[in-house]
Amino acid sequence: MTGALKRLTESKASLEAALRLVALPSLGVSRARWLLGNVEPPAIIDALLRGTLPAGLPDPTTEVTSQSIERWRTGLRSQDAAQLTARNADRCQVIIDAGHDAWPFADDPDPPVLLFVRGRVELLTESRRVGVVGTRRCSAVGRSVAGEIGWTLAEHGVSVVSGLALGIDGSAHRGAGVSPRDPGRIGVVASGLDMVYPARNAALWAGVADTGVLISETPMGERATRWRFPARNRLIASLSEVIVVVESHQTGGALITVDEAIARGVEVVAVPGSVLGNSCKGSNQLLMDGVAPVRNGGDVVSLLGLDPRALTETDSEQNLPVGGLADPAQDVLEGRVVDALQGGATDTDTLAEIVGEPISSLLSLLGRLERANRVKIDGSVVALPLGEGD
Amino acid sequence: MRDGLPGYSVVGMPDASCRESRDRVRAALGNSGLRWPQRRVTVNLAPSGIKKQGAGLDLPIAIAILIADGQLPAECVDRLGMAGELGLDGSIRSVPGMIIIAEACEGEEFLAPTGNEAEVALIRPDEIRIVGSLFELANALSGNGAIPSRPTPSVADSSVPSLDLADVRGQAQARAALEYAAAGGHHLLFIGPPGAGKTMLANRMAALLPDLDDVDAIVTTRIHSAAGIVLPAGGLVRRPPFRAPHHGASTASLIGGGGTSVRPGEVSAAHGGVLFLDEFGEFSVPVLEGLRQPLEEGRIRVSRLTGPRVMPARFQLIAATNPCPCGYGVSPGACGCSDTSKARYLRRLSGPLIDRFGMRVHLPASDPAKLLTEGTEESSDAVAERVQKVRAMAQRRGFHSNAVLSDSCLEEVAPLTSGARTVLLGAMRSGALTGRGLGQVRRLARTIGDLHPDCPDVIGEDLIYAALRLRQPVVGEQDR
Repeated sequence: MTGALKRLTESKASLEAALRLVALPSLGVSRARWLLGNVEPPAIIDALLRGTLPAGLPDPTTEVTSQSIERWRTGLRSQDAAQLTARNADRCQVIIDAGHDAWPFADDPDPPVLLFVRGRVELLTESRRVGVVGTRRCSAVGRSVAGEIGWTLAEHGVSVVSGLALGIDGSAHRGAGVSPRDPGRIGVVASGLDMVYPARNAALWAGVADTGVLISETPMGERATRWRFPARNRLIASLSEVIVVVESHQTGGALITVDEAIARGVEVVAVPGSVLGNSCKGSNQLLMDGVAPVRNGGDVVSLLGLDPRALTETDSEQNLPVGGLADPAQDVLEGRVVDALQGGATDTDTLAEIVGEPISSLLSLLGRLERANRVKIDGSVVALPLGEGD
Repeated sequence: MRDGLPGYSVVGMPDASCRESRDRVRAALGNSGLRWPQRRVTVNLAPSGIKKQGAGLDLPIAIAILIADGQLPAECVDRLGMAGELGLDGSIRSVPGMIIIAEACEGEEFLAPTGNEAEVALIRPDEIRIVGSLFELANALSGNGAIPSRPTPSVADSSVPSLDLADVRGQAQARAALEYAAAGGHHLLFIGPPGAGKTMLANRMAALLPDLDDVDAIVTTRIHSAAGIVLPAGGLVRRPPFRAPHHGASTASLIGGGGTSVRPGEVSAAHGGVLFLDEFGEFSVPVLEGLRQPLEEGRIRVSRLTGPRVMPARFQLIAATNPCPCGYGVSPGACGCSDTSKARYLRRLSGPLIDRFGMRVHLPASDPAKLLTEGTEESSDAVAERVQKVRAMAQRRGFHSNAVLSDSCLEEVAPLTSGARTVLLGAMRSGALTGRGLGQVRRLARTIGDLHPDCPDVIGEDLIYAALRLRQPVVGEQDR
């Protein structure tokens, strides 16, 4: 990698020109790197606007057609450069390049040119990171497994990396967000940081930016063109120590993340799914191909060399209310509730009868257990989360 | 009154009941020992541009005829207002809306029929006289007897509905939620399969609420009077109203409307009480969204032909819905709906609307064993007593109920422990709680605390957890 990419954000002129290039929907990342690696950015824009390539470029790995140059030229002409620059000068985001201390892609074979960051940029290099990926159209089981894995990872101080999509991605991040010990989630998105997609995940999007970090290689104001989604997946793979596939269709985007992970030597594990479910075909195929299986967050944590039991032992201690001691009666009641649920899911009313407790104090306890992911409540049905009933 | 063939006509846009006054007035005069003039009588109801309705004008018409006929001196009605329906026997009967008429006669003495005393006694009791019959009144006006009594202090209409909470078997969580709703005035949404008892519970809500205070009683009586809702015996709406419009209701019927005369809708009729919307998901979307303004402001602004009108509409919303089109929701194995059709069914209820419910409670299908055994459930009276206590506490804080505590007051009467603060922050961070939700949770926690035997001053984690647990997601967040 040449040093030029490390100085993109140094001067205003080169940052502006680089912004214009990476904002082009028709210009891929490797082409952008090729252009920006050797020539001063403003010169590239000038040349492309004239319809020619700038002088001094090395030979391209694949041939650049005149149609491509024409597309770039049209794209650049239709850009409102001033608006693009103004929008990306937003105080909410920082723009970093390969010269930044927290640049996480120094050893990556296919790094971005610029990275747009909102939130705690240090998470990208300092924390332990695990990617949890899967399909948008997942089963309810997959959703709950992803949530559990996200939560467990966060409880052990591991940052969950995911794509903020519907389904598995969102569930994993929601699960992690519930944990009070969450070190900060990492969301890698395909569109500009101000273009929330999908809109349904807006709250999650804001939550991740608030307590963790949100990154993209697309400038603000730009929607995600089709190719940006698989490109985003390579960043998830590159940032993660391990990639966990929860559910994936036969040809899912998660499998692209897997390929990118394998190319980078990142370990891939998968959660076994129903052999009948379409949403598990891709992940089950991975298992057939020799990827290691994991059943829950505890398995992933062990894989990282952390002790999954270390947490449960100190758990009740850490849950102490500030400035007070745990109420022993509360613990006894909690034990009775968990015992009652071992026998199977039930509703709140029946549970109150079994444990012989007035509904008002049971509501407090269930609220507490629900926040801590110790019980799952769906409508009127209360159950132990997967993996605790056995 | 003029010479000619004896006859009688009423002009000035009377309605049918007004026009029929002739026969009533004539018979009443006869039966009170008074004479019907053998001349031509024209009754002019001024101003003539406004429609007159109801039988309340019988009494003034009769007295006017007596004066015109010289049977009573004209001075006797100086600065005197009156209204009432005449019976054929000469008795004076009560009419709905008396409170509004009496208020319009501000500054004058006012004669009201027996039967309306409770309602008029609330306003200007010194200037109100109660009369029982035309005979008595005519005697008094002609100077042969005193105008009788001042109204007796109003007897509270204590006809509490007979529906009892003890009839509802099981459903402990939903009962608790209903109690909290009654005590704190929080809006409540029940979600459950058919036959779980949602409607039964909601119908028992009104019996839990304390009587309206004087101000609300008058406002609500006025609205009911204007809406043509039958007033209770005594005329004054003392019990909080319970309105349960059908899910086919139009926007106009729910929020108010009409052509030239704007009639109050169900949201106004429920002022001070409960608006119960059964089959919430079946109401049309514009109707539901129309609820947002009154829920927020406690009043409704309706613009019609005659210009905008603002009507009071501070009601408590209780709604019930099935969890999905087939109705059996999450009960294992019972529901045949796909995830998509479930989500579509409840997505009609917009996020902002759902967010206005302080409590969203899922009911399990009722337990057959409980339905057939002798119940040991608490009766409405026992619950109503606790509710009354909490409502009184809210009033001492200067608010109608805990649900409308102001933000500044909240800090004062419901301070959070640091643990509770952490729990709330966590809930907001995970996206489970909005800004409005935060206030609702704190208010609900205050209510639960007030109902607790210890009645803690400070809101701790337990109360917050309980309040959060009662805000159950209507559908899984991911399904939306």
